[in-house]
Amino acid sequence: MVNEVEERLRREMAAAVQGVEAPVWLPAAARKGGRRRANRRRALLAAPATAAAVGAVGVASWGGWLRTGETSVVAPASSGALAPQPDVRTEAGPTAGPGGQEDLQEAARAAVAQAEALEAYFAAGYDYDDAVELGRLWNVEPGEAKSTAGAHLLAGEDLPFEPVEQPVEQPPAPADDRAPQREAFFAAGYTYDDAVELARAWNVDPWEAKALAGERLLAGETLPVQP
Amino acid sequence: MEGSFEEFVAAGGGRLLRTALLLTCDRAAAEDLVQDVLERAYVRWRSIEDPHAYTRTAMSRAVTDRWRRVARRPREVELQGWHGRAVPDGAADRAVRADVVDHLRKLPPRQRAVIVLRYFEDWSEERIAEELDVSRGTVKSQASKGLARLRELMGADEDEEAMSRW
Repeated sequence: MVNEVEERLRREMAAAVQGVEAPVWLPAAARKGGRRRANRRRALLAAPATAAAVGAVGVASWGGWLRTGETSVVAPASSGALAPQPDVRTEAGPTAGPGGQEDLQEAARAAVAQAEALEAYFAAGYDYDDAVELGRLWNVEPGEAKSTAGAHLLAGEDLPFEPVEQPVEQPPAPADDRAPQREAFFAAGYTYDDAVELARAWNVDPWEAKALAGERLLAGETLPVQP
Repeated sequence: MEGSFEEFVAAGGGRLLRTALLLTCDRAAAEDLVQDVLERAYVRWRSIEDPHAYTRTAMSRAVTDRWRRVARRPREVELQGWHGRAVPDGAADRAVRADVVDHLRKLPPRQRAVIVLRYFEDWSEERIAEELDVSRGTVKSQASKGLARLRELMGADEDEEAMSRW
């Protein structure tokens, strides 16, 4: 029964989000917001008193998942070492210089390749059940089978079998009828942080704030926050 | 190197959003979550060894922390509306698909995160434990509780369906 539930879960979760794509503005918006955060971080590091406050509230602890042996550029408040000892890699974001670059670049390339392979795999109509079958044929885990199969597809090679037809047809995801407003928001130079600030001011969530702000911008109005 | 970040987002953004949708069960919250995590990833890009693991783990933690901190009511919008919509095929399959994801929404965020990472991302229990920085026992218990709850909900549905046939 457990296996049945597990298999059903896999199928149903995959089916539920099938066809969902990221909005077109996401890469640019993420980069822009990331740059802004990086600049803010640099500014904090340049001002020791402010940086100490940042360290005290533990901003650096968010998320974690740094590479083994590395520490965040914002040191703990107790270390007394908040004046920049810049690890350029963590401080400056993707545009800055280097250290151990080859490994990192290789890891980044591998990550991109894996993402592309997974997209190709699912775009070709294959699913988890196919990955299980491919994994059995290739003697690997289903997760690895998906990446490997996607790489084959990207190379123009056929897989051992065609994708098994989905038993159900998925209805299309609903259109985002406020996408133009949100695109106008980002097109005007605003970022996610601005949305958070506006959301606070208007007592709504950031997604709603983006749409409301976009509406006002499209109507020729100005916002309380400048980009 | 900057290109690699954008390439990662362009190539993997869709998949990332799908994971976020399952973690939040809310399209708007999922988009915000993805963007927030990607912005943080941008700042740390050079020190992130595995962007896939980083982004998924960051999303899982953010979702868990978000509900724990602010007890925010999850908005129920698009995802519920279309993933459960009736389609012209086998009634049993249709009911099962709609119900399973709807049931997923009813799990506590931590259980849901473990379930999504385990069964949508195909992570092993060991990997989930390592990435989320919890013990493997915690992962096992969360997954077990989540599955038990889902099985219970599914069983209730099947009973209901059987009754409706009478």
